[in-house]
Amino acid sequence: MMEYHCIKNQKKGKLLAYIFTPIAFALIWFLIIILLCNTVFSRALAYGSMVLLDRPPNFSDPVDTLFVPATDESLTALKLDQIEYPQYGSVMGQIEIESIGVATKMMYGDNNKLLKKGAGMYIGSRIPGYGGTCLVSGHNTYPFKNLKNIQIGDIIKVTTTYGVYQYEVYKTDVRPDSDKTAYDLNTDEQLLVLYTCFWVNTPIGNVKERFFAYSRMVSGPVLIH
Amino acid sequence: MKRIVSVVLCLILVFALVPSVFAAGLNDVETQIMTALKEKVTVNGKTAYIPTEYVNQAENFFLSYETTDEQGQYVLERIQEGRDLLAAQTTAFISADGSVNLSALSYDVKSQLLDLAVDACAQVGLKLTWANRVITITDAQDSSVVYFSNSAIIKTTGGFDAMTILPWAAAVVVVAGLVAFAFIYRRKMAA
Repeated sequence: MMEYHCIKNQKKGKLLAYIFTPIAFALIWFLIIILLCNTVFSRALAYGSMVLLDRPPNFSDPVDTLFVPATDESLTALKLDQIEYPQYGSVMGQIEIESIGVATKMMYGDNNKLLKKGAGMYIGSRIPGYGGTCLVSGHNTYPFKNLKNIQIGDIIKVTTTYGVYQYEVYKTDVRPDSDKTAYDLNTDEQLLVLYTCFWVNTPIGNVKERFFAYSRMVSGPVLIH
Repeated sequence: MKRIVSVVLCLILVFALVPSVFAAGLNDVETQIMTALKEKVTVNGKTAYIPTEYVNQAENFFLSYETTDEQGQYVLERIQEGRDLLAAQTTAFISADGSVNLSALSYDVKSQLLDLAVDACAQVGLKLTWANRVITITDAQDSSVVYFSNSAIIKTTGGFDAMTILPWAAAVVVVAGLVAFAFIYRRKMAA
């Protein structure tokens, strides 16, 4: 009886050791390689699909990336009926923060798809110059990887299709994503609030904390009715 | 869903429009609508209001589209209908912070409000959808163009960086390898 159990355990052990464990190990390796080499694989697949195309390619991008920046930095006021109001999904501006090396498109809207293209403005906030808070988010890998290094006094330049704005940072803070006092959508003051996930540069994307950079407008055309 | 009444009210008021001319700025009737949206509603001694982020979305919509007087009057009438519907409620549905507690309203009232909103949106070429407690209004022809959403204001902005996870992945590989080695070795020794 003992001998029977011993043989049975040995067989089970061999099965585990020489079949299941290597398979599990191979799967782990496979997943890791996929994760690490995802960009290479996707590029290779893209090249391959181009070679094997059997119909004309479609290069249309549903996200409107056409952006004509305003150039006149001397404007102090603009009538609303003189500007082209941004449309959801379009590029509405360009954000540049020289001190931390940030330069990115600013989209009107902040869904997952748009946030892959650049920074996204929350449509329940205000466009630059209108009065009120302009709330803009960006991923902590791109474009706001260096946002955590922003300092009080740094200048944020926002070039829209209708005006060029400069904001000066007056505060930074780390707050939970559920904290509604982290931003004020009721104010009439011309504010720009940038935020991203905190901790930055972490493999864990979905964290509860956000890094906020608060800034006040120092120049740019005020939009009037 | 808790704020669905104010959301739906806002939707009825704002989106019973035909997006016609693309023009920034608010005309007279749009200004009246925005004033009405910002007004608070008092029911049974408690005051409710439409959240600022919803009002802002409505205003952003108006700033990009021209509303005719006829459409605007229709919206203003719907505002009053919504107010009357809420004012007629005897149950306490307004929370201490001024938000609307949807669960306190009857299914019939909620259905009426939602039906009004869906109908109003459909008539003017907009599509109202809801899933997982999120209401979204999009262009009926292009659902990628969003005019309204009651989803979370603060988004998930953590990215996935392959170079960043490299040390972690390497650690996982090493640990997995050590575990596998230890397991096999132990089995061999036991045998």
